[in-house]
Parts: sequence; structure tokens; C-alpha cells
Amino acid sequence: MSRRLILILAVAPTLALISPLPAPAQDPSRPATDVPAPDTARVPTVAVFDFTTTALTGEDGTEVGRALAAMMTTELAARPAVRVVDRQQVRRLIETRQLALSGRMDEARAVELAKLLGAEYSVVGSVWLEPSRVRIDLRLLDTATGTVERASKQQGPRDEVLDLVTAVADAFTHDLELPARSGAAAPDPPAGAVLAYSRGLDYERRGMDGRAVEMYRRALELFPRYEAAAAALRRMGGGSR
Amino acid sequence: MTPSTMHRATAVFVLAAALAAAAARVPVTAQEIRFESELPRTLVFVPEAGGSGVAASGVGSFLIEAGFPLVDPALAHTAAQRELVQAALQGDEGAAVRLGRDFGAQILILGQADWGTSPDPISGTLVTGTSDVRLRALRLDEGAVVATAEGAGREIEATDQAARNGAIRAAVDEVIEETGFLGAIVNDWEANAWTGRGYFEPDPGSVESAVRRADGIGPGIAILGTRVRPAEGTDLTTRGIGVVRRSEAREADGVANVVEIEGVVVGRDVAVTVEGEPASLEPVRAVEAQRLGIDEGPASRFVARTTLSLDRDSVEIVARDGAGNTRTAFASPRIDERWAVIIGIGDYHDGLIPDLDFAAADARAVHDFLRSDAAGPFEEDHVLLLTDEQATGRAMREAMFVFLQQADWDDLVVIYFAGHGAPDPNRPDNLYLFPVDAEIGSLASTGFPMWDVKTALRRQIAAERVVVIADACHSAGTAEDADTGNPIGGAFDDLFTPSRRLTLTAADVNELSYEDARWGGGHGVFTWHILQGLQGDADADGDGIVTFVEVASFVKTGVGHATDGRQNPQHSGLGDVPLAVAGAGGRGEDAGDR
Repeated sequence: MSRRLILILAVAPTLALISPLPAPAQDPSRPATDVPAPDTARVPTVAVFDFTTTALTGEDGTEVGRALAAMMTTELAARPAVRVVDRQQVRRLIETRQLALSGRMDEARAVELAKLLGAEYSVVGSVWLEPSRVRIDLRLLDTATGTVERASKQQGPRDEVLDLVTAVADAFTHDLELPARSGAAAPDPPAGAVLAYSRGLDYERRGMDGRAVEMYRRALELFPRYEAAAAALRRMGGGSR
Repeated sequence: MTPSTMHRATAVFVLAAALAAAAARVPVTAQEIRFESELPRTLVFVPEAGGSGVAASGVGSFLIEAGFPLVDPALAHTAAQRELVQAALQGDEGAAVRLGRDFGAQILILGQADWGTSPDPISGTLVTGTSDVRLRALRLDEGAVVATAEGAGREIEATDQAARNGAIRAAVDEVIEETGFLGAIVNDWEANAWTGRGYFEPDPGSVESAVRRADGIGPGIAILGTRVRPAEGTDLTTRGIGVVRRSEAREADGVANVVEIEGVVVGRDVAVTVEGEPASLEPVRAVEAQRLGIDEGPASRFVARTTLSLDRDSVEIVARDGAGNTRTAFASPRIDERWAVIIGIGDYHDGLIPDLDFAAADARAVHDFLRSDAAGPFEEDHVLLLTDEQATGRAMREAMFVFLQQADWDDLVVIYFAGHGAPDPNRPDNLYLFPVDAEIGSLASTGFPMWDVKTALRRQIAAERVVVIADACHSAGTAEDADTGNPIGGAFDDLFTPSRRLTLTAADVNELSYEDARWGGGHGVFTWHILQGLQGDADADGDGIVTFVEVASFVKTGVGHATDGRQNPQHSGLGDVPLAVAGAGGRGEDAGDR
């Protein structure tokens, strides 16, 4: 049984709120076993939060937003471009912070919660429910800057909501190449490298450029991925390794 | 000498081999107590409201990771009842500098961490914490500020505490990772040699302290020795360690001791009175002045004899110079309370450090003697015994820096150490006693530096009369191998400037210290003879009171004879102190004739 089939079965009771479910069908085009394993050491981590729902039909859209977030979590998890924070972790964080489940998951709060989860990006979504149609919007937020990195939307008949979820996920991750944040994914520089970098800063402040360059290079020798030291070397005209 | 007497010496050679394996060469000449390293010994003191210590902990953790020898901040806080600590906590920089010196630091990182929290403006359920951390680094040889920095942090969390701690950590991280603060400390440390000027206070009551006072207005006075004659017609004369202690005064109304006082005054045209009576003065000759460490200014020796009733504590000495400046000092011929730290370590954790068979037994025997009638006895809660597993580096520090703080100026402190001592193979100028948890490959962080012994004695222990007895295994060097000689004995001699602080070490330079079962069933020959002497054998003048000088003389002769001249204990210091009552017991099973 495919991963997608399991997902559909899991959310079927909720989706019944929207429309009669289409017959569950196996999707042979994307079996889970064919999904290349993401390089978790380099791909960025995203956290998906419950979608906010606006219903013009008077129905309570809370469960819809939660179900669509779960579906989107699974869709994104199947793609190699990102690594997705486990849904249970997200739920647990929200519950421990006693956030009102029906409350609006605005972007600022999503960014802060994603940081707490160790994610570099957060995915927030909104659902627009009309009597016969549905619209899904997705936004990808950089937790370091709070800026929207990507947005995607799909709309269609309510009875095609499952296809809409897949479509919006496809569009959302198409050619998606998010940089992994060094602070989150890379190890911290060792103390010796930090000390060398700090010595470089002191020498630079005192105008002892030669010694500053020497220290920045030492920091890079101890930790080749030391971005700050590399930037300092460029600033000093000492080249970067 | 039979092969069985070589146990402690054999341990010396094994240790020397281990040290040699850790370093190419260890010179034998370094005897001055210095502490040299690529990075300075640092104490971090960053008070913050709420007292959670997040900032200090954050800075300290990084420094340890970076290889700084860190002065144990817990040690400083152990003495939190002291006014000095309280003043430093409240931002008194002078108090903080003194605190840093008191605990042996060369750099003091001093700062303040401010913080605040507020509800998350959006949800009202999360808490936003903000923090500002300001740090300054001071070199403690001259008190110069070598680095300053500020950092700001912000954190959103579920609780006040988590948000506060997160914000402070973020601010500290900013200082460490994004400023040249720590770099400036290291750069300065490399560029400017440690001078040590003004670092150590003179020993309390020492000649050096008198000379320093004489640098100001008025003469300086140092007591070189006191002697209390037993009062006639009262049993009090043989109580305690042979003289009446101040605390016993109320029991002997109307009784007085005859006391003799010898001292030195520094200054021009000085006259001295003792209890209002003129004292006889004679110039200190050049050779004697050199021995006393008096480089400048005329000095005179005075002697006086007076009576001291049992309801009085001290004798008043007044010096007046030719310019009319006066200085008053007080001598306490009687010892008030007595304190002791007794350490014996033979069972080391590090397999590279050879065990000693009888070091712990030596310590226990000394302890038992001090608790016997012959020694007073020392009060139970005034004696701290640390053997083997108890004698960790932390425990030794607390003993020296905290326990002995209780001693007052007119008390007597006895410090006894039996165990290993050696220079750091990577930094031969740095000398260490080995706690039970010492690691030979990382003595800088696990050894007990002689620097700390000196710091504690100069800055923590107020008692003017101190007796240090050390059998640091090869406390006087490894004779047969000049490259692995050991300067630790010389370091004990360097503990004190001329004063009534006395040292007795197990052997001379380039001699070994021996232990064997034939001495009291298992002791070091040095400690065994100390015990014999204290129990009465050393009472050369037959007055019933065994003094330090008598014991030292007895031990020198006895140990030299017992080892066919291979081991010769050394002693230094001025004056004398009574230690025991001859024939009053104290020969426990362990200390019997064999």
C-alpha cells in the first residue's frame, strides 16, 4: 500500500466535512520506495503548521485546516528537497504552549515555533471554503529572517480536494532549492577556532592587519566552514579558503 | 639499606618515568612558585539578578573548552558569606579584584547580566526574554582593563525562566562569538609578560609586611618569635600544648605567664616599648638583614620580657621613629585556637602515578597524634583529615581556601601533606601536588598548584603562625636523574618570606624520601621520626614541651641516621612554636617502638 493511500484513509473522516470522498485509489506513480532518501545532513528542515480556515458556508473549518496540514506534511516528507519535522512534535509543542487550536496561526508565531522545533523554515497555509469550491494557499517562511521565501496556491472543486493538495505540494516544491542554514545544520565551530577568530577581531580593531589575517586563517584551518572567519578574510583582502 | 626500604623511592622513579614520557625534559632548577601558561588562570564573576548564574556558566564553559585554566567559581561562591563576595556581587570592582587574587586568578572577567521578560504581544502565551551582558577583563597583576564587550540577546519561550536563560545565553554567545573580547585577553597575555607585581600580600606578620608598612608613614614592626614561660603554681602550665591558651584564661584568675618577645623594627631612629617599658635595641647587621629579606632602610632587633596575666590576650608593642611617627602592633604569645589540615594520598586513580604504600597511614598517624592529649588535643572540628579517596582536588582546595579561613591571626595552623608532587611536564615552572584524582597528562586542570598553596597561605589564612610539613614523595628531587629532578621541596621553601611561618620538608634537593614497613609497621621514615619526636623524644631541653625547632632538629638527625645520610629533611622559618607536651601520651598502636 502506498504512503498516499494510508494518508487518505487517515484523513477520510475529516474530509467528509468537505465533500463525499472519492474512492480511495492507489497511486502507482509515486511509491514510497522510489523516493530517494534525502541527504538529511544538507537539506533544510521545515515545520508544517495547521492551516487556517475561512469558511463561507458557516461550517467549523478547524478540523479541515488540521487535516490539510497533516496531508501536506506527508506530501512534503515524500520529497527530497526538504526534511519535515514530525507532526507529533509540532502537535506536542502547540499543546505544551497551550495555544488555542482554533487560534490563528499567523506567520510571526509560526516562525517562532519553528525555531523552537529546530526548523529553518516553516510552512503555513490557509484554506478558503466556499459551498462548491476550495482554495489552498501555502507560504514558506525563513525562520532566520521571517521573510516569505515561496508562495503557492491552487483552487478547484471541493470534491477534488485531494488532488488539489497534491497539486499545491508539487507546485510548492518544484525546483525548490532551499539553502541549509549553517547555524542549524552545521556543527558549531570549536572553541579554538572561535578564540582564533576573536583574536583576529581584536587585532583588526587595533589595526594590526597582518596578525588579524593570520588569526582568521588559523580559525579557518581549525574549522573550514567558518563563514564569519572567511568573510573577515575577504574583508581584509586576505582571500578565502 | 635493604631493598624493602625503597618503596617510596621506587615510586619516585616510576613517576619520573611517567613525567619524562609526557615531556622531553624537566629542569631541576625551577623552585620559585610561578604559574605560567599559554592562557591565564581566569575567574569569571558575572552576577545577575535572580542568581541563576547563566552568564558566568556560559562564559566559563567556553573558557574551559578553549583550554583556559579556570579558577573554580564554586570555590569562590563557597565563601559567599564573606563581605568581599557580597561587595563584588553588588558591583564593587575593587572587591572583585581582591576576590580574584584571593583565589589565585590572573585574569578576572567581571560583568553584569541584565534581563527582562514580557508576554508575547501576539499570543500572550509565550514569553519574550531580553538580556544585555556587559563584560570587562582585568589583569590582576596590575589591575589593568584589557578587554570590554557588550552583547544583547532575545529569546521566546514558554516560561519566564526559559526565556530569561535563553536570552542571557544568546547575549553571552554574541560576546564570545562576535566580538574580540576573549581574543583581546589572549593577545594581551601574549604581548605582556605576567609581572606578579602587587599580586601576593606579604605573609601575615612577616618581616616583609613590616617593611611595606615602613614604606608609608611610620616604622614597621615584625614579631620574630615569642616564648611563654610556664606559670608557676598552676596545672594550667601543662595543659594544652604546654602553655595556657587564651580561651582558658578565665579559669585561672590571678595567674600570669612570663613572656619573651623578639622582633624587628624598620625605620630611622626608632625606639620601642613593650607594654610601656623600653625594649633594648641593636642594629640588624647586613647579613642578618639579608636573611630577613630587608633590602632597604635601617632595621633594629628588639627583645623584651614582660608578664601577661591570663585574662589578657596580647602584648602591646609601640615603635616611634625620629620624626615622631608611631606604630602599634600586638603580639599574641599564647596560641588561641589550633587548626590542622592533614592529607595523605597513596592510592592514585591514574595508573601512571605510582601508588605509595604508607602515605595515608602517615596522615592518619599525624591526625591521631594531634587528637591525643599530648597535642592538646586539637579540637575535633578543627582538624580536617583527607586520605586517598577523600583527597580530591576539590576537597584539597576547600580545605585550604575555606576550612582554614576560620583561623584567626593569633591561632596556629598545621598543614601536613604526604603524597606525590611534581612539575607539569609541559610547563616545568608550574609545580603541583597530586590530589588522588590527578591525571599526569593534564596536571594543569587536575593537579593542585603550589601557586594555590601560596595563594591560600598569603590571602586566605590569617594565622601568623603556620607549620607546613610536607613529604611530597620526592619532595626534594630525584637525585639519580638530573633531567627529571624535582623542585617541589624548594617550592615549599618559597612559600613564605621570613616570618613565623615554618616549613619542614622530607628531604634535601636531589634526595629521595623513603618509606618502609620497619618504621612503625609502615610509615615514611620522615613522618615516623616526626611522630617519635612529638611524643617526647625531641624534647632536647627537657622542659616538657616539644617545639617545632626541637622536632625539626630531631627529625634531621634521626632520618639522616636511619637512611645512612641519604635523606636529610630541611626546615625554614623564624621563631618557634610549641607543638606537644612530652610524655603526655599520643603513642598509639601505630606509633609504637619496633
